[in-house]
Amino acid sequence: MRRKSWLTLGFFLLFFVPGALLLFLHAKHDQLPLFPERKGGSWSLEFTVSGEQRLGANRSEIRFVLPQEDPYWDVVDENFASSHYSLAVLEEDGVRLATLFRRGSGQEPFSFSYRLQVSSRNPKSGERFQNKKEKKEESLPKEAMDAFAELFAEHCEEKASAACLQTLVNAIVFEHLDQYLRWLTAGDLQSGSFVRGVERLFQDVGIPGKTMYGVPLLEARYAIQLRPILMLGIGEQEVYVLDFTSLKVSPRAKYFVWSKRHSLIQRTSGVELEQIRLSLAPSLLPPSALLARKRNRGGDFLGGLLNLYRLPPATQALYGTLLLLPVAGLLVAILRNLIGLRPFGTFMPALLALALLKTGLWSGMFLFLIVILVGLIGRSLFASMNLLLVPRLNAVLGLVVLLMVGVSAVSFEFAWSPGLTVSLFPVVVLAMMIERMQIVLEESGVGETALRTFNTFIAALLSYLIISKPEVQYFVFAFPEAIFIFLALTVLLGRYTGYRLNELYRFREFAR
Amino acid sequence: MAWLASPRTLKKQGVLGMNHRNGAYVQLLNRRRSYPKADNKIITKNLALEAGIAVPELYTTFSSTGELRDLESRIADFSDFVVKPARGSGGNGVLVLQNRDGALTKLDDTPFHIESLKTHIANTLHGLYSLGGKPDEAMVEYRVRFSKIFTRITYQGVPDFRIIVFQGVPVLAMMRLPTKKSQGRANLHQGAIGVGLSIADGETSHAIWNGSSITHHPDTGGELQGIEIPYWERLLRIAMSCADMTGLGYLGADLVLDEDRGPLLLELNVRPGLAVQLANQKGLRAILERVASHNPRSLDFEERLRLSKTAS
Repeated sequence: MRRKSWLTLGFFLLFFVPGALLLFLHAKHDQLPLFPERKGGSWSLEFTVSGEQRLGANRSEIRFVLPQEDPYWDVVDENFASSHYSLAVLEEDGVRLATLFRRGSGQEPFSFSYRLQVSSRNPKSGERFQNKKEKKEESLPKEAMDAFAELFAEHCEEKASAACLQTLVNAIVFEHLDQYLRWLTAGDLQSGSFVRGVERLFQDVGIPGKTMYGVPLLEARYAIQLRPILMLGIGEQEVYVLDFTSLKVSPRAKYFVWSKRHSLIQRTSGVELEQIRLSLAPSLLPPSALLARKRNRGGDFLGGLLNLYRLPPATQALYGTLLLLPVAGLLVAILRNLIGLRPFGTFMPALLALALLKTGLWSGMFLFLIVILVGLIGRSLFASMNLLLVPRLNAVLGLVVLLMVGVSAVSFEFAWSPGLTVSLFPVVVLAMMIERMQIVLEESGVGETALRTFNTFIAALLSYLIISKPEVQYFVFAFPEAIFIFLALTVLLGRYTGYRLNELYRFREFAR
Repeated sequence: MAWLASPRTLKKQGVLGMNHRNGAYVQLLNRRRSYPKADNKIITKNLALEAGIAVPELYTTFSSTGELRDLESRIADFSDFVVKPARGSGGNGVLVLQNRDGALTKLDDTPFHIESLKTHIANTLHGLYSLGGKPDEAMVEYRVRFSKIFTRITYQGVPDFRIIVFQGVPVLAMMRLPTKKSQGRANLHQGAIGVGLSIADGETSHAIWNGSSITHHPDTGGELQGIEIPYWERLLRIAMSCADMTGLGYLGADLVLDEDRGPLLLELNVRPGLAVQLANQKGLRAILERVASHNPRSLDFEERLRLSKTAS
């Protein structure tokens, strides 16, 4: 081999060896599989409180409710982090309570977070609900029970199922809400007493249930409250959850049940609470890996440096996306240096691909095309006003933002969700792309512009197809050290001095 | 003709690809801090004047928008001139204007308002036409009148000569002819014609336009082959001096032939060398390797000139 090839190999190994070694050790120690298991199997939940000690108080205390045992979810990791406060966990009537306390005065600000990792499991035995003995004064008005029995008989004649439960929920909420609200409580749909009233109605028709407070584990949420949910046991095994906040009936396994009580904070004294926040996000790590960690009492690999799932859910989501950038970037580099694609901007397609992750492929592409088209028209309008460069860029930026607001408003009207989830950075990317397109348009004509735009979208599309794979997303999140391997590949690419695919076409006359 | 050439064929023909050019020549032979000497036309011009190389006369420069207040007085003395970004590329942002007693017109005599010129210069200063969008300077300079020999083979613009110089040795050259499609600009990807030139005697050989071979100018009908470029050896010497004055080991010098003033240096390019191969139907890589084997760094000026004529 020539000297240059040896050098290339050396540079490659310089990154590849530590990366692969780290990855191997990490995977082995934490028993992480290289490919993801089913998605949505594990979740991170985080409860954060922040506030300030009340002026003059010389003892402060916050007591909040920890989640109870949930037969459908296994708590694989649980940790507390607090500043300035001591923590004690005690059990009271079967409820675990965490107490934060501090002696001494002074307006000390504090923050506290409680984080837990749960992974789904099949309950050993289904939850059973028993008919409660009703106290006389709690019984419902007869007309409510009769009306509900009629409704039930109409929709769930033969056998109660998820579909018929959904019909019942719809009927209660959309057709007879006034009556039921009057009969059951004076409160609203999301109140516990309303849901408990519905529980009693179901009990009356022979379906026992239980009202608890919990959260749906369906999608990432960064500020959510515990909501009352009605769990109904149907048949031998099946348990369904009636959620009057989302108005959905779902299998029990989609909900994490926190406690019997409505409020997470049970008691406070001597403090002023400023922010109480519950957030949740699907964890990319498979349950088996988390369980292995629970069993693995030998400590974390490298002190947990590479375990991103220990970060707060919002940060996890951020890194889940950010770690995809080097992958998309490598792909764009390959398309440029091996294929000879010429997109606008160095890494614009990679950023577009990340944006597509949030909006979805086709709707995202459609959205970008509209924004670019209108942006181009607006830009030429501003150009004809003889605006200088930076103000003009800003004018285009404003137009793009306005356009996105418009698209979001329209998509809200038509319940088209992708339009609503436009994230922040593509706005700037699109504005700059419009500017570059216009320059190419003026200097090199429509053909060249169309070609480069096409190149940009092809590169974004291909990057998207790769980084949207759950396997890829899992891999970069579970093994952040894989970046070394991508670096090694980048080095290899950077040392490639052979022909690009487009040059084989460009220099085809030499083949004669 | 095949749709694609095989990499093996291209290698055998000694064709230089973009990756190889960047990795083995541009990055190794051109030091980053020498780039401004080529990228900034004002610096290039000053260097050239020090080295005794003729350039189009610089009338005035603008480095801040405040200076635009005396734009009228600064251009009053010149009946025609060219406005350029100092760090532009590919002919972007270049304006050629005539001054008819204070009223500006383009070359086709359509009026051009002084306010439009101010906006154009302000945009230039903000970096609209510069590499990477960085703030820039604008220059106003002498408008080249091309030599009579080109009237039959150019359309509304000045033909220029691109000479690739490797380690101080001219290795490949082409003439670039504006067309109607290129709108007077001499850039191949904008639709100009590339005509291969023999390094030994400056005679035109093969010509390409939009990626395919042609023999006559599409707009004027003039024949493109067999033209002998006057002052050829002087053009070669200027290109070599450019390499010496900038210290760039791999560069493209863009020269013009002015009717009155003879060969002038227009600008330098640190990443040339791909299209010129098509114009010449000759692979550059083979020539570069041949020249490198003669260890050109140890040769003096005249020896390098002789080497260029035998090696290419």
